[in-house]
Amino acid sequence: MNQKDLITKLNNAKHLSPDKEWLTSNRALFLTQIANSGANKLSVWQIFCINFRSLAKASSQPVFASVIFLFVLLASSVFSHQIFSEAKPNDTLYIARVISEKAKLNTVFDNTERDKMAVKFATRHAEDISELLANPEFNTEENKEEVDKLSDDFNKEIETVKNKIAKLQSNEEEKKVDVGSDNYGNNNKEEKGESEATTSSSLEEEIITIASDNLITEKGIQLEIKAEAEESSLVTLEPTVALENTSTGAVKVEEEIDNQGSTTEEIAGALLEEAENDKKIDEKLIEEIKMLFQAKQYNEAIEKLYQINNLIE
Amino acid sequence: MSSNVLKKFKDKQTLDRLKKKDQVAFTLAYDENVADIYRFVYFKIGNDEEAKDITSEVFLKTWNHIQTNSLEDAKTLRALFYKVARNTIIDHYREHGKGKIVSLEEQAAHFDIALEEEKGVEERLDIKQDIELIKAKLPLLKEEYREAIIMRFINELDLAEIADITGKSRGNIRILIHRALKALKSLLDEDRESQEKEV
Repeated sequence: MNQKDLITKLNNAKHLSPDKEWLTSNRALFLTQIANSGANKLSVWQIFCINFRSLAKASSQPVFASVIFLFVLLASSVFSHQIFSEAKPNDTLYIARVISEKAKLNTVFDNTERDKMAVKFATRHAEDISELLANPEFNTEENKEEVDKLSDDFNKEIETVKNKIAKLQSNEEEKKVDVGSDNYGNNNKEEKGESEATTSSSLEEEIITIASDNLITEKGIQLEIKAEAEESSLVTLEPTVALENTSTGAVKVEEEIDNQGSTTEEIAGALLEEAENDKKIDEKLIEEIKMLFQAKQYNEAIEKLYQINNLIE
Repeated sequence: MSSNVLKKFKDKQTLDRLKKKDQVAFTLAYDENVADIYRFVYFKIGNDEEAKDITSEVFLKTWNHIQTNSLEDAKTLRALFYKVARNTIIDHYREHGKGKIVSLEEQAAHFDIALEEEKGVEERLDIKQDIELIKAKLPLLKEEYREAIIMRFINELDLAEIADITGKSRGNIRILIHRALKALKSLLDEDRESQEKEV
């Protein structure tokens, strides 16, 4: 037998391992033993500091060190938001998250997109605060100062959400009014008697685009705009479900707008009314969130905040 | 160079996390090293049950050591595990006497032979036969030869790690490994010759 064969045989011995049963039971026992001796889980910040120190020690060569430095600088400016996005309001890294979000907002040039992003960030902050306050281990008498501070922060975030949504909606209203008055000529008036409205395909597309941006959602009520461009040029607004009592009282919205023979003023008016309803519903939602938070119903408040996010998206 | 730096980084990171009593880091280190340490102990002392007890003791001792000591004496966590394993085996010999290590094949041991599923039936049979052969012949070698072979060829540590664990220089380790292989080879050759004579 030559040396190579011998080494191959020796290498094969590495396939030998302890039986799985023992491995599992021993692992569980071992974890219990180290837990009893004071083992704990490190926070995100502690792990970050350790990683940074370890990398600094490992990369002793000057060229490599400078490359790493540049990379970290670049990565933090691009990815800081992802890195810090999980930091909670009581974490040390939370301030870094807020700063990185502000930096990201500054990189967005479109006003609408920026406002939407601001709403998203503010609702997420509000969700995180609610989650934290819903935790009985955190929300104690000992932490009263911090709890009060977080409650103030929550109110500020909700105000931000309210203001940004109002701004977004006022921008959209302006768009709709412009489209309603400029582009809808008297085409429908001329063809009043006919069974189908004959708006041009470009008008249909504009109506569809505008109206589809106004998806209104409240308990049990949904208005959808369907375009049936292939079969006819009819654009219809249909209620899918009507009527349900909400916690703030009965709200009924019944709208059937048949576009056969409808005028352009009626369409623009309907869209404006939709926008008004949007505004009322969003304001109502925000007020509900505030009330739930004050009543310490944090989980319900979080659910409402999800709805705001869905509306924005 | 980059894989070397990555390895250094990972080792440093694990050690630093362990110093902070990070349970997750130690659990990961346990999962990575338990089979290797078991194999090391098993081939050194030759008894499955005792090997399992010693392996458990090694990890607990390492955990306690990390909490109370600085870790400058071990370049990597793996080296630390092996050092603690060697010391624990020495303590075991002191308590129970070194005894004669009977051939490993004479014991009904509970261990698995973890073979990759991709390997064919013939290959798996060959591997099992090789393991049986090693189990029969390894105990007949000197202690330090046996240790060198287990670390270098069975657990596949590199020369630097073995030097760190044993406290010897790399040159010494290289010579030790060469002599150990030569000794094992001559044992196997003698065995084959005696089998041929019988036939």
